[in-house]
Amino acid sequence: MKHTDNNPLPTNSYTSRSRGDEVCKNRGMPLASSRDSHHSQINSDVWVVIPLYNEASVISEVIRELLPIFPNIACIDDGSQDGSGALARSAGARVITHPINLGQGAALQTGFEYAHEHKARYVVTFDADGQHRVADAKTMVERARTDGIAIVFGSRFLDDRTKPGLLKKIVLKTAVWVTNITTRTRLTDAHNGLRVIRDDALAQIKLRQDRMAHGTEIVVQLGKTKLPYVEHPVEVLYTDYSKAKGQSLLNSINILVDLIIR
Amino acid sequence: MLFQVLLIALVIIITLFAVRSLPGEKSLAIKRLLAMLFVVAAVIAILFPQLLSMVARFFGIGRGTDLLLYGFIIAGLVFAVLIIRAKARSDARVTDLAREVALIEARLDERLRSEER
Repeated sequence: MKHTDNNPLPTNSYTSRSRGDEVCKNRGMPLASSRDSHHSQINSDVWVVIPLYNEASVISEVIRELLPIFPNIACIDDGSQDGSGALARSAGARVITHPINLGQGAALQTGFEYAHEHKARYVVTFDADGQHRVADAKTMVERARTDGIAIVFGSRFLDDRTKPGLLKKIVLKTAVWVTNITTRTRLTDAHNGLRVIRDDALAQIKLRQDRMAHGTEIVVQLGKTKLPYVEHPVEVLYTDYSKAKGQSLLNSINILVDLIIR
Repeated sequence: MLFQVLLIALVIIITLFAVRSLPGEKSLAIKRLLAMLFVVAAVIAILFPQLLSMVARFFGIGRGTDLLLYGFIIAGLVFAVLIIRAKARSDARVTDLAREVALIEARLDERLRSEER
């Protein structure tokens, strides 16, 4: 839990606090070259919402990879102290700055309201640390469009690309089991930050839990909309970066307690 | 006897402070009635400690002081829960306020940028 002096990474960012499975490695996909203007034209009605808290080392790269596919990016700078907001702005994202730190769920809600103001048809939630692949987000939006689906959840357990540790897998699976019992959904991965949400579903969401388990709250509220949803296989990239941030298991305990005591 | 006088004075003074109107707080008649009942009960208990012991024995507790201790613990817990809930409500308001500030700032920023163009 302690910040060590030789660790250059901010220990207090969302991903270390809420989940801890993250990354910033170059993924093997040549994304920038595979797009065409046709898609970016289509995606002009999509806003990518990125809650941002102390991710200065990776945020620029994440935004640079997203921009060719998704021209509209809203970064919610949740009171970062490491200049993440300015970096995101210069990388080409719109930055909305919370005057004080409110938590990841609150940052998502701010992003939802901002996207709603800008008449977004689809919102993509994306983690600031680069654990998600842009290609996954792109196919998820395409799937929502072509199949008329209101909510697409990313799941790392639908194929075998993602390799979480055994203990982590047990905890995540338990979390999803409790979530499925307490909500009306059938999911395989409840705490995945990559989601696509259509405007009619978005209008029915109001995240209240500032600090923790908004992953659950969002599922609960989306489940109540009774709108069509699917899970889509995505890859979550675990690297040394995530291990440097650590404390994922302690946070998993938090997730479980928040799930049970609601 | 001296200590009893002191205690009664303290109970009355503290209760007076508690029921005084504060800015932003609603003064509820029920709350004030309860405070008055509390003062009466406290004064009786201070003047006639044997009464407290009788009540305690009625409930199957050894001594009046034990009854007082249990009551104190319960009151403390209730107090803590009320404070935590009040703080959560106030936090939710702060969140809404901060979000509104952030969104207004973003709107201003965008207006300025579109005017520059």
